[in-house]
Amino acid sequence: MTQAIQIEGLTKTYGDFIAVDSLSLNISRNSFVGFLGPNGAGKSTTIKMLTNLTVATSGKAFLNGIDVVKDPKTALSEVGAVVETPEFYPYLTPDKSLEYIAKLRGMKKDDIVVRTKEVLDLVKMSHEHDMKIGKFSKGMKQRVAIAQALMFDPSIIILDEPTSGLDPRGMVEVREILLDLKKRDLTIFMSSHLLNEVQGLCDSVAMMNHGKLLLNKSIDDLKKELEYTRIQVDTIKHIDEAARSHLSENPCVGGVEVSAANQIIIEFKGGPEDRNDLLRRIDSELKVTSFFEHGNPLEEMYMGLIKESR
Amino acid sequence: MTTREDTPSDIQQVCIVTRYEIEKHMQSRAFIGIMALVSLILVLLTVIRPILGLDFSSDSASFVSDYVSWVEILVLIGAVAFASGALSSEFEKRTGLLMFPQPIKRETYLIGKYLSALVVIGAALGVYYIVVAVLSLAITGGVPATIILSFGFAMLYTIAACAVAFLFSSILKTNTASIVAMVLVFMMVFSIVGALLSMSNVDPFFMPSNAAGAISYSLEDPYPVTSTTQMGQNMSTTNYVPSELGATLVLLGWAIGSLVVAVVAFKRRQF
Repeated sequence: MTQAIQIEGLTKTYGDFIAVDSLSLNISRNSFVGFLGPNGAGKSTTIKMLTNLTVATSGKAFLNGIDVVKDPKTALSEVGAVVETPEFYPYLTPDKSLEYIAKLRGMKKDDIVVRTKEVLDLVKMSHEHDMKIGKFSKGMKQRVAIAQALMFDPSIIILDEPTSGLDPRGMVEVREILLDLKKRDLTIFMSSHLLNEVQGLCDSVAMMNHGKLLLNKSIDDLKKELEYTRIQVDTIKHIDEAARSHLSENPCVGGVEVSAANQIIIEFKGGPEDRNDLLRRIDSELKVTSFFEHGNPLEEMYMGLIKESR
Repeated sequence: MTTREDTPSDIQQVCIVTRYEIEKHMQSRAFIGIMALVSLILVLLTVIRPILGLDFSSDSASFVSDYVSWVEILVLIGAVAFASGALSSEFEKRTGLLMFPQPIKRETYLIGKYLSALVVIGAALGVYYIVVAVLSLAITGGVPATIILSFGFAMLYTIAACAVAFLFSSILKTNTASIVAMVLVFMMVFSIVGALLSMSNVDPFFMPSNAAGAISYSLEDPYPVTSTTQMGQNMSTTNYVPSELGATLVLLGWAIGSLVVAVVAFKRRQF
């Protein structure tokens, strides 16, 4: 089996409510997949079924070829996970907590000492290695949680909103860790609400709503599929109606929105030459001070798909 | 990287969980609390009697019996402190989000936690019995051999009480609910039902609180038997004494039954 994660018809129901509805999804080895969807879409339930926190009503989910529904112990042996914001035992230190988890996974004593230092350095928690976790902030606990997921050098990492609840600095630090992990031979499956984060980190995205998979594509393919790119242009000259309608006549322009006296948002379709031509024309008429892509293609795709699936 | 071949066996994992859970308990406030309680009972029983001008019994079994009468309450407090929240807290305090995605079966985790609770309560009881034995030797000049049997029954009662606490903890949502259930069942329900059965001349042999009477009875030599006292012409009261074998079987029965239900409930419980 070449897939790192293979989900086949996975379903979870709570009474009459279908949280995950016959979900099928394959995730290749060494890929970084973002898992998107609005609140209640079924992302967390899917991740909980993959990590033995919730039992599937039906279907199969294979981690490295082993069905986690039937044999969670073996299936999770090479998987590191951070689900939501897990809590640690407050009386234990990061050293002791990591040692506990490493022992459960069969790591040897010498390896535990070396690896504990490495992963705590990576998540910037080495100074707090012997402090009781009960005194830590949410962000610090989240970093230790990431450290425990990396402790045994897993082949698959499953993350459920890893930057949720962190302050901006904590979010940046966790993103840096994830970028570093991306360079390694790892499969990362990460749910997130932050589309910029997913676009910046992931190779591809899987999107779900109402328990069903809506999309599973690479970020590059998504960008190609979007008909228009939104470009924000700031100018020195005031943008009047005549200038706006003149711009609208350009065949590469799908629409023009005047967002401020000296700012327009253009829906643009075309190649680099067309873009350059458009920039020159606006500059000659209105004197351009800045010209850049506005918004996030993933966000546009997301909003479109979620609206359709309502 | 660790592989699936490196993952320890279930038995090895039970030992790992037990070891780290004991370490966790030892650093908790609950452990300080129970050791403080052990010390308080020992100090009060040893100091107050002379202050009130009362003599200690010269018979070592009778001397030890005064102290052992507090063991049942110590066991229940220990079970509440170390077992009542053992499973529910994994969900309520979200530590399960960290532990359940590890490659370990839920039943393995439960058994490790259960054994750690037994070891910690056993250690507190052990200290209590050792100090009582030393006091008995110092004050009466001897230690009854039956104190070992009494400690054995105290441990059996711990095994049963912790199993029932784990049962509540596997079913109820919060620590508080399992603690309240444990206190209500052991301190009220079992006492009331036991008393009503005795009044109706029904032997409450199956009640764990009745079987726990063996902790004190075992100090007596010979071991007492059930006796009926005539009170007037048409009234009598019966003091139902559990036999040693009966008490052992009842306590083990409660322990096994409760643990089986706890394992099933814990395995089915979800985040």
